[in-house]
Amino acid sequence: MPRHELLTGNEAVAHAVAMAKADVIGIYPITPQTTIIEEICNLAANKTFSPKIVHVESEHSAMATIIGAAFTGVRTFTATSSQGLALMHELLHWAAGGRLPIVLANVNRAMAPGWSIWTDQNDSLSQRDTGWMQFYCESAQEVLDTIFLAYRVSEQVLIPSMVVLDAFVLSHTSEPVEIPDNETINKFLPNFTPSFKLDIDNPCSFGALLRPQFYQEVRHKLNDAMSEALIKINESDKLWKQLTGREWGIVTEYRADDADYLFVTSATTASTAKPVIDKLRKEGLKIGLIKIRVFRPFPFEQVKKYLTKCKRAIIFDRNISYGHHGIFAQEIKSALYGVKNSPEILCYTGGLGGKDITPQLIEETIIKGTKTKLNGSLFEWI
Amino acid sequence: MKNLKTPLQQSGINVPISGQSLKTTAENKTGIWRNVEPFYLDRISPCAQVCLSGHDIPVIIELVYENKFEEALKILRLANPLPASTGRVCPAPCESSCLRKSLGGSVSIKQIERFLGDFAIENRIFCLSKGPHRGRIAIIGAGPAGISAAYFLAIKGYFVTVFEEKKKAGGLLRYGIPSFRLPKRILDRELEIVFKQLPVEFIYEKRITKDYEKLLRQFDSVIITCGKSISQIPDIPGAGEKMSGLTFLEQINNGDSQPLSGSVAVIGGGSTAFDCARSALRLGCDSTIYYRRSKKEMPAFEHDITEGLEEGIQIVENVIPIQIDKNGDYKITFAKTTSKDRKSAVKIIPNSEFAVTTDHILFATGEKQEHLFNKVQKETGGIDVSQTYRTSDPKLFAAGDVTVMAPGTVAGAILQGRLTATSVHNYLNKTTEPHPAKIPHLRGAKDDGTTIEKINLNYFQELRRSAQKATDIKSRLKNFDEISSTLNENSVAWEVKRCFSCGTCVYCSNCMNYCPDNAISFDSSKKRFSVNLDYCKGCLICVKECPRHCMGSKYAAA
Repeated sequence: MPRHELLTGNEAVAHAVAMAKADVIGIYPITPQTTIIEEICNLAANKTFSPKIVHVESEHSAMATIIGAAFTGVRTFTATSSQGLALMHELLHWAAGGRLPIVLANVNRAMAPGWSIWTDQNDSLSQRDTGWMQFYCESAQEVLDTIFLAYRVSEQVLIPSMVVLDAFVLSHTSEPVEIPDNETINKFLPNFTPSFKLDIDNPCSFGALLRPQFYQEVRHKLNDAMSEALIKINESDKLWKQLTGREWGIVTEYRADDADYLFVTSATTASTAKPVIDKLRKEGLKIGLIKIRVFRPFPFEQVKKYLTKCKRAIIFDRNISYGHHGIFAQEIKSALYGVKNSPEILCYTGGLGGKDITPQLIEETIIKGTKTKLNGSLFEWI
Repeated sequence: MKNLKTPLQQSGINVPISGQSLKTTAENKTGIWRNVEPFYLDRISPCAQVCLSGHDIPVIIELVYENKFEEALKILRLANPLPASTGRVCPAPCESSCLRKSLGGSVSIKQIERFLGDFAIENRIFCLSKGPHRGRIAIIGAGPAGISAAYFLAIKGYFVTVFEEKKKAGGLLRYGIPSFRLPKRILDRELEIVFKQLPVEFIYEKRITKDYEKLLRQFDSVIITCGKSISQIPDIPGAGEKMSGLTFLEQINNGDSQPLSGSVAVIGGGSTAFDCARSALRLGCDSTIYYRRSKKEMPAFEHDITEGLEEGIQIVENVIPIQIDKNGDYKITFAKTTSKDRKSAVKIIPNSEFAVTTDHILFATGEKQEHLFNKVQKETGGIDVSQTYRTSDPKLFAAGDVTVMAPGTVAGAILQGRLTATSVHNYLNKTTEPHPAKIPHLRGAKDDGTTIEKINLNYFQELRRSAQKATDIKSRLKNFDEISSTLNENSVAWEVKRCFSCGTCVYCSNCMNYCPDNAISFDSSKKRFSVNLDYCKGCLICVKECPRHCMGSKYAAA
């Protein structure tokens, strides 16, 4: 039987990692992630699970440690934020190139300088091209469920996963969370049997030299595995629904079916937007919501499916690619290039460095987005 | 669903999903990264480069390190049959160039040589001839060059007859150098173990001069090695042959000396001057050295000067005698001089004359050679020889101080004796054996020197040089006993441990241990490291981490 607990987003991560029985966890503190590893240490101290917890001197070493561990075929975890993730950058490539099913929780925090501990997505989106899967969550429940899904899919396709949650808004805010029983988890997430591993009885080298013809071959395979991952995510989501009644989708919609306008966003902004959608619907505006939950692999088909049905998409990014515009917006536009019935697209960026995204702000953005006379695509700061 | 197959998969080739080897780590031939490659190259060490006899010093030291004294002696004797003697009298330029100098003092190479020399004497390790015996060679003069040539010819199998005008062999070693530096008993015993089993005959008290031409008819070849045995007395009023420093030393070494009293003035600044002054001290005189240049320009070896000063010799610099008057004691009139360096002539300061009264005068102002070998000898002195020590007469050779190539040191004379032996052998056999001034490095080292910058000092800690035991100064002056004692085995072990072994591999395995690609292996039968270029990616950690510069690198196509 599932049980219910009041958990913050970070605690949800910790509980899921404990239930997934991660074997090796490299830890190094950084706000706002620190409470994840604190809770993991609590759970380990209480014998909820028995991981090897490795205290290291930097995020780089935290990732290096679990890469080494993952090569031996065990389940691994670490968590970080912002500068910590940036410091891991080189090793993120190693984890993906090494095809290691590592799961990492990144609590979105703005990059310094200026110094900030508050949320935006530029830290995780800067790691877009490292070959990791990225899941953006909007609730503690989604976080908990996504950790299980991430382990399952990562171990199926051998690509590491980054589960992303917003600083404070999600990481430090308590919500009731349904925690499945162990039996359910065992069904969903069986023990990991690696297809290759470091083995002193069968010495092989990993991550060594690849000549050009093989290098591209291996990269080709990684990219193919990303495509396969979308299928596996979908399958796993279905199984999760059977086991728990919950599904999270790849791209989720809210009142989008008959919408003329779609508000497209990610993470907790989507939660905030839902009452605004309801209010505007009541006022007669045919508006719906699309949330991009899986950012890598990018859900081209789902994006096409929803966005070709509307007249205009209002994309709200909590991130910015300097010299361009919001990163989700770029990706959505590229997915729609040359597609029949593509909508008009307006790109807004706001909420950086923890700047509050309130229902009023979303409402203003939508109103602005519906009324603006469009001449090509538009980018504006909110 | 689209076809998820990579191009290689479509052609039936399946490679792993990441950079993995399929079987062993050896699958990855990291050598293809390489654009530089390391190589092993032993280099002649700084000590060996300057060695006057051409010893392969690090190899000798390595053998001593392994307690293989007899083998070490064998290597020593490749270049020098008299290590007990040179181990006492050599100026040891090896030690001056020793790279260990800044980390506790240079290695006592000279003392190691002396130890091995004494080891040979005590254990009576005789020198043996290889044979087959052929040819008869005459050598005129049993000094260091003559002894060396006789030894090197005899071990090649020649019958050698050495003519010596004095009563015993040794030349300068016996009659010039005082016993407190080289005890005659050591010289006797060393000559015994060298020559006892060799086909060498010494004919003493036989002075060969113009009759050397007769020898040329009796022998297959003749070598003149009679050195310079006569003091060169400056041509100034009152100076004479009886003031010869060399004669004075010879008398003492013959046991003919009388106690002296009063004061002695020694004119000169070389080793002979110090030997004279120090001998005079032992006979009961006060000794003062008068030198025409400054002290730092003295040709005497540093240890002669230091020990002389310790014993109480006075040195008066920048003075030149211009007249000697005898009136009971002597009155020497000196003029003051200025000097720039050892090569340029001194300048006399006008009206700077002053007089010194002394009981005895000894001139140690150089040696000369009588004009005995008129056909081959230059008017000015030395016998004219080629680089291979041949004179204008093809049967006649000459080496040592008697020649124009006068080496000026015992060790240098020994080297010339060795090279002359090769020349004689080549002449008699019409062969072209090379004349290596350095004993060919046993591991084929190239004369590509090493310097302190090339030594990886991270591997060497400061280790103090062993102190050599010496008699205290007061007791020294009572007799002509040897001042210093031979290092004991423990101290020698310490000294060889201190050696960096510059440029000579001692199989420390650093290269192999540090190689990140496991590309270096050691062949223990050949005692040789090698690099497997299939895996060497050219990081050159091996070269960098070689403590003693036995490796190098070159650009190379992968």
